[in-house]
Amino acid sequence: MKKVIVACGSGVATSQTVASKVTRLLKERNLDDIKVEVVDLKSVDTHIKNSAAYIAITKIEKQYPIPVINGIAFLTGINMDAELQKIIEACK
Amino acid sequence: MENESNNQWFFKDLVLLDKNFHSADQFFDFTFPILSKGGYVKDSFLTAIKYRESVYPTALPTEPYVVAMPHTDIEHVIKPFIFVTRVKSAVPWCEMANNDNVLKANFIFLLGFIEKNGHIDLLQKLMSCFVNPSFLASLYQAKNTSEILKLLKSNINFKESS
Repeated sequence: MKKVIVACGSGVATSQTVASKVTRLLKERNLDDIKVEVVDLKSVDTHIKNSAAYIAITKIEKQYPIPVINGIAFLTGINMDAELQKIIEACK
Repeated sequence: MENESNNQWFFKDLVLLDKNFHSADQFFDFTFPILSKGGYVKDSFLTAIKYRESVYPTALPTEPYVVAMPHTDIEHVIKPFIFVTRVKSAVPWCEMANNDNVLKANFIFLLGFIEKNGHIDLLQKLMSCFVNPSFLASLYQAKNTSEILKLLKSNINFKESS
């Protein structure tokens, strides 16, 4: 089971929406072994260690050792397939 | 978990058409008293929403019109609401996750949520409206509040559950 994390400013709206969208897209592709988890922005660093990718909905100020995915793509649909592909690659 | 079918999200007194704002802060200063008087938000809402928007801006590069969707932590909200604003001339609004890019917002959907995980269905429906150019065009051309509300209610059908 691979884990992918999503974080936004308040955890109240956008991260939940993105997580649910990504989960559905992965399920449609029968990729049931990837788990999408919403985490608090403050705890991203702790989760990075055991995650395959980080879906960001806020501006990224630093470098991460795992691929950072553009979460806005899953809100607007623009470049969504490319970003989804990055998640799938990161989980291989 | 999703129990939005019985909830009302849009209100006649929370639709604002064709006003001018020169900044996000000015927009919040104007709308806060309306929300506060209506019993939708706590006094802490104004500072909280301004701070949240300055750190995590919410304008989306949707076409043909830009939509901003400011929201803040649930503890500042009393009753759930969506405050819909269409501005006369577009307001400078920073882009979500791309803070340095200033977009020009035509619509502002100020979101008041009271559950941390309970609004996904609603948000997804809202998002699918925002990325639909013909929906935004209709919203832009709507003549009055009741046309706006009709459009929103017919496009966001709460009966459907996920």
